[in-house]
Amino acid sequence: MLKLNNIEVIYSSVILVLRGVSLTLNDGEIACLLGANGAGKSTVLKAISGLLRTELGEVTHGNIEYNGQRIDRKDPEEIAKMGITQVIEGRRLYPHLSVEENLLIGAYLNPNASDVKKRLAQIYEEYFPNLKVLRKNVSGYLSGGEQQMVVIGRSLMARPRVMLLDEPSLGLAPQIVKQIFQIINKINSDEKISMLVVEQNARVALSIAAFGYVMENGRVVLDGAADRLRDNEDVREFYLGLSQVGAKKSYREVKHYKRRKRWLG
Amino acid sequence: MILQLAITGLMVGMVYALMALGIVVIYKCSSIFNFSHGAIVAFMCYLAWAFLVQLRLPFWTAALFLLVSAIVLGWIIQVGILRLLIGQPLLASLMVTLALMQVFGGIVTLVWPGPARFYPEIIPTGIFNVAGAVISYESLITLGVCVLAFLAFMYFFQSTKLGLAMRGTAEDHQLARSNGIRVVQMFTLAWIIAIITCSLGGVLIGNMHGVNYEPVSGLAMKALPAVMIGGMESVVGALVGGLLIGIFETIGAGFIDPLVGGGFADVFPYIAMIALIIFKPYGLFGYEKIERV
Repeated sequence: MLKLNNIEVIYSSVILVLRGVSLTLNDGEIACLLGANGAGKSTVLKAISGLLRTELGEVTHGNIEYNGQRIDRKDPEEIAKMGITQVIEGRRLYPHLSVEENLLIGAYLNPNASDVKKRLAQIYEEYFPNLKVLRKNVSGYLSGGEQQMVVIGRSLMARPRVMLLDEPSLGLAPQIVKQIFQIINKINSDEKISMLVVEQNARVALSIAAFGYVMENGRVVLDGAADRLRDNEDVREFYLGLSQVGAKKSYREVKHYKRRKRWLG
Repeated sequence: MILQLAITGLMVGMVYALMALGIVVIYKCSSIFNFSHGAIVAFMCYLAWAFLVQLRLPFWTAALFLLVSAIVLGWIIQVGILRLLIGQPLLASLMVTLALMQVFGGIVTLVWPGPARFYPEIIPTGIFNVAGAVISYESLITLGVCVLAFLAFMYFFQSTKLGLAMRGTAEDHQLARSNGIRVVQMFTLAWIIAIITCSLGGVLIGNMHGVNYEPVSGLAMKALPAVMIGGMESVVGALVGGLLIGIFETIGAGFIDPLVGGGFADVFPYIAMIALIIFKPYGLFGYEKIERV
């Protein structure tokens, strides 16, 4: 179980980004983290994976616990070793390496070569058959969807227990987004990997998640089971683009008054 | 005549290629261009002489000592100096390598002053003729050692896990760390590999031209045009660049020097470098920024 207890994150000793975020990720569960740009969603993931420290960020208050062990003071390498992997935003891969090399590097911490081979075959077979065809290609020239698959596959190579996915839908066509999320769902149900998914695309994220958090200005302003969030009036209005009645919002009206967000009250 | 020049060019070129590899390895991993390369080559060249002649060690013991010193030296430079500069502007690290160049030059003149020295006969001398070309055993063995070393390093980078981790580090430090690769360890490894190539090159060059600071470090720095021609990030580029420089140089020496009265061999590689850079600024095999359009 992954637990964030009231963490505060400050970048470069002056920029306050998270102001007391608490959340819990149960084993084998998918939770999603929604929110506008700059709300601090990516920072939450980086705080967990330790990558914060590579960007001059620091957890200044609160703590992060994974299976009862405190991890917010650890290096990203140690956290990776504990089975927490992050799929960094924007399909970050090693662009000049081939697809297969990208995947293999994900298993760097696994000393057992035959196990790595087995895992590679499994990933080609069960999750990403396209990648097997492309395995010798330079990954930097793949299409966006294929790159996203490489990045998720690389994360899987480490046999993680927790995956932190940062906007897997970013810049992808709706069809591909659907496909990627189907695979994410399949990974979760096959391997019982817990996942924390950061998304702008609230609809697709809420469709696979069991639990959701909404962030704004470095705070969690709303949380709840995913189906409850889907019905929440504020979420419908501000994240799903629906009006209260359930019909699509009309942009023809000359003026429309925005609801005041309840959580600001 | 042409065969003779081709063989010499090939041999000299392989030495340059090995030197270029040392620069490329460090640059790829840490984006630091090692200006002290030539000075370290000369230093290792003297160190080998000290082991062989001053300490009278047998050849293989001396070789082992040299290998250990290379590892220790690489570790000291990385862990003792450059690691402390991580997160600082790259220029600082670059200046450190410039300073190291002077430091190693200083150490050499301090410890081993005076005229050039010579290795005992570590490689059998002698020559034989092939189709009118005179080939010495020395150059043949030099060529062989360089080729073997190059193959070994290529194998290391292409086919081992550690080599893959180093190439990954070269591409993206943050990503490498998130995959559990200790980037600083990879830097150290890069420096150790580079200084091992320096030692090999130092001994080979010293064996051909005598153990002498200026010519040895100068020759080693011919790796600069080789690296620029081949591309800063490419091991294959180092090989091709080195061979091209070797061939340019011997062509310059063989055909143009008699016309202009000598000295052209030394500038020809640099002229070739400028000409090539104008058309291929990344070098022949350097990384062009991958952008999908």
